[in-house]
Amino acid sequence: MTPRKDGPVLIPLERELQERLAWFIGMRWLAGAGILLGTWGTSQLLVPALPSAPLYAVGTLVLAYNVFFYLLRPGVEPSPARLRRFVFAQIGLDWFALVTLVHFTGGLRSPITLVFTFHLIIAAILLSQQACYLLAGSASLMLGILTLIEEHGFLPPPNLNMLYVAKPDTLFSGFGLWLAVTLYLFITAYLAGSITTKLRSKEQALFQSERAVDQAYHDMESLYELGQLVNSTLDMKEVLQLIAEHATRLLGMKACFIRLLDETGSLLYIGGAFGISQAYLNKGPVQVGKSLVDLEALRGGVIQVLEVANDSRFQYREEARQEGLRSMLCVPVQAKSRVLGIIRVYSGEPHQFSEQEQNLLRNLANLGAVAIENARSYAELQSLNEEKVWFARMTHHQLRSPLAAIHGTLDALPFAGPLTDKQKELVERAQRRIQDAFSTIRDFLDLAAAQRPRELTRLRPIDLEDSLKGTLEAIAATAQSKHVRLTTQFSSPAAVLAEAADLDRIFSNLLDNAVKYTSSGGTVRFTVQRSKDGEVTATVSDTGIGIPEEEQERIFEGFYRTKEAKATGEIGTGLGLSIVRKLVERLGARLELESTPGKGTTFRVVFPRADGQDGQSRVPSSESRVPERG
Amino acid sequence: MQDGKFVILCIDDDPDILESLKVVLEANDYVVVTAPSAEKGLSVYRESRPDLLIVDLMMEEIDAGTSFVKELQALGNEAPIYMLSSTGDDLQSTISYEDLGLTGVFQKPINPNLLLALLRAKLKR
Repeated sequence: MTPRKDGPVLIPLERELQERLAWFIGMRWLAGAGILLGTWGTSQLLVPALPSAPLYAVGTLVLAYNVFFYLLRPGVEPSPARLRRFVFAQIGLDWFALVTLVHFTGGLRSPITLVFTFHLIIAAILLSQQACYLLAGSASLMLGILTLIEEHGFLPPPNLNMLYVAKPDTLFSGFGLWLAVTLYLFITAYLAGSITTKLRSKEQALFQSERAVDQAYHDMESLYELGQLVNSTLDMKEVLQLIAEHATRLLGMKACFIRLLDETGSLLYIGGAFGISQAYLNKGPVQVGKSLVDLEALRGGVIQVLEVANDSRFQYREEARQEGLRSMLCVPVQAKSRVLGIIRVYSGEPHQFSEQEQNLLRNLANLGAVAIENARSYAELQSLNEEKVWFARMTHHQLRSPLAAIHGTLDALPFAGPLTDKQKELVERAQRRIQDAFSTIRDFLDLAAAQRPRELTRLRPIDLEDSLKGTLEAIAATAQSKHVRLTTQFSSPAAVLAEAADLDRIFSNLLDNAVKYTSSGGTVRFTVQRSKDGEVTATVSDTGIGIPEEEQERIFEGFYRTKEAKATGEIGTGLGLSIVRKLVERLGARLELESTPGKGTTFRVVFPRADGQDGQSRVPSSESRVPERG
Repeated sequence: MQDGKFVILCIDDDPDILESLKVVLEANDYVVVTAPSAEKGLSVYRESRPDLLIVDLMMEEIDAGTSFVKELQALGNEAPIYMLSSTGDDLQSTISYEDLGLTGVFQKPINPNLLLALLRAKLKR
């Protein structure tokens, strides 16, 4: 992220000037050659009396000094002053060459006099209007001196009367002609100068608006970037720190801090800071009533202070001075319905904050407000969930304890003395019902865990084989006692993004069901395969009773059991598959079911790539292949 | 050992659990001493020097349970310690019982036959 570029606006005039300079030098080659050719042509064809030797000399001189200028032309990014000096030097020499040409082509009457105007136009483009007047003045002066010298016979111009109207004593000769030429030069300087000045100011305006658009785009981009960063975390401290840092950098400031109102609304404490010493931050919370600046900002104002140490509204002026904080901009951090706090940026040098800078800080404050609200909602959600988990745990414990005691007591009954067969049967019946209650309680606990909000799930790569070892051992024991064959097969490595406890819940439910609803002599298979694109599919298949097609959607509802399942006499709440579906969805995996009544059932859990490089976000999507209820 | 019988200390805050354990174990020739808390358990431990302990650590905070085991170790305990745990307590998945200095874990409700088989294997004359 690069800081904003405020400050003096430089249009790329210098670069343009440099380009035109090259053109100016290029034109001079033509001018030099033109003088030589023109002299030759005129003297040979039209005016044999033309003093060609001095004219050839001038042409050669022009070419010679042009070589010099060509070689000495300024390189990349010269200073503007150097460029101007360079232009002045060229025009100065051109003036000299022109005056000489004018003299040897018949004095002021010579058409060469007009060439001065070309230069004035070039000067208007390359230099300023003032420079233009200066050059017009100097040309007039040089021509005046030339005229004086010529008029007084010190240096008479060559007699070229055959070229001009042979009446030298009219009004437009001598002083009169000089006056007319001078007027002519100044009018040219004025016209060329004003036109280029207007063009230049338009160019400047265009450049400035282009720059403003660039800046706005840059700001927007930075805000977007920051927005993305801010959204990637729900930790409030981290978010505010990020915003403080970006505000400092984006605005090119020395420091920034964000203060948030406490619950009472009377104290502002630091939420995030950047570029400020710990000592300054340690001065503690600000009492809103004592800080008029904060008070004003909290009411929605934008406060700008040029010199913090001199402003009586500040509670900690001396500390700010020691910290080197000079100018300050402060805006409120405002959520939809309430003010959350303030954000301040400080410069290390006196600085007048532009409207754009104020808007940028306001936008940053808005971003901060959203982030704070998000983080607060998340924290609330988290604490609500903790409360729910605690409640579920307590309920679980409270329900289980008496049941465990009853179970233990019934277990101990035969050890207290012999029981009749009927008594034994009754005890066994009671024990079965207690087991029933235990599994219901366990399912409720799992359901509570499965209902934990998705945002609170912390996924990490887990190897399925390692993670499910214990679950599979327990299932193997049950299967063995029921004479059901259990086979497992892993294609290694098969890491998935999950929470270990959830994996256990998913597969102990699926495997438990498979064993439960497969009769003696049947087979339950558990296989884990990893596809080429990194998806991991865990399959639980059995040769059990199966699920009729019309009931395949309903079994994912809570408390639903098929007629066939009930008929087996196996204990079950009908909650297991609803728990499995919730958990699978939360992990961003999908659950697939195939079943043929009387033949068996296959459940597949398909996990996305564990490294998160499947183009999907690691946050589980709400999509699930299992049909929605209802 | 007491009168040639192994002494087993059971600690649980549920008197009914203690009572049923007592019935099962005494019927199988063990001497059973009980305590309703870790604190009382320590004093019973000092008096009776049991050969094996069955402790419900979840009766109090887990920290109390671990510090109880540490105090036993400080007393030079060499008797095996078994913990009673309820499924869903998440204890197994988060803490290794060996790290706590425990010999093993029993799921509640305890299957008496499993418990007796284990005691027979663990305590040999």
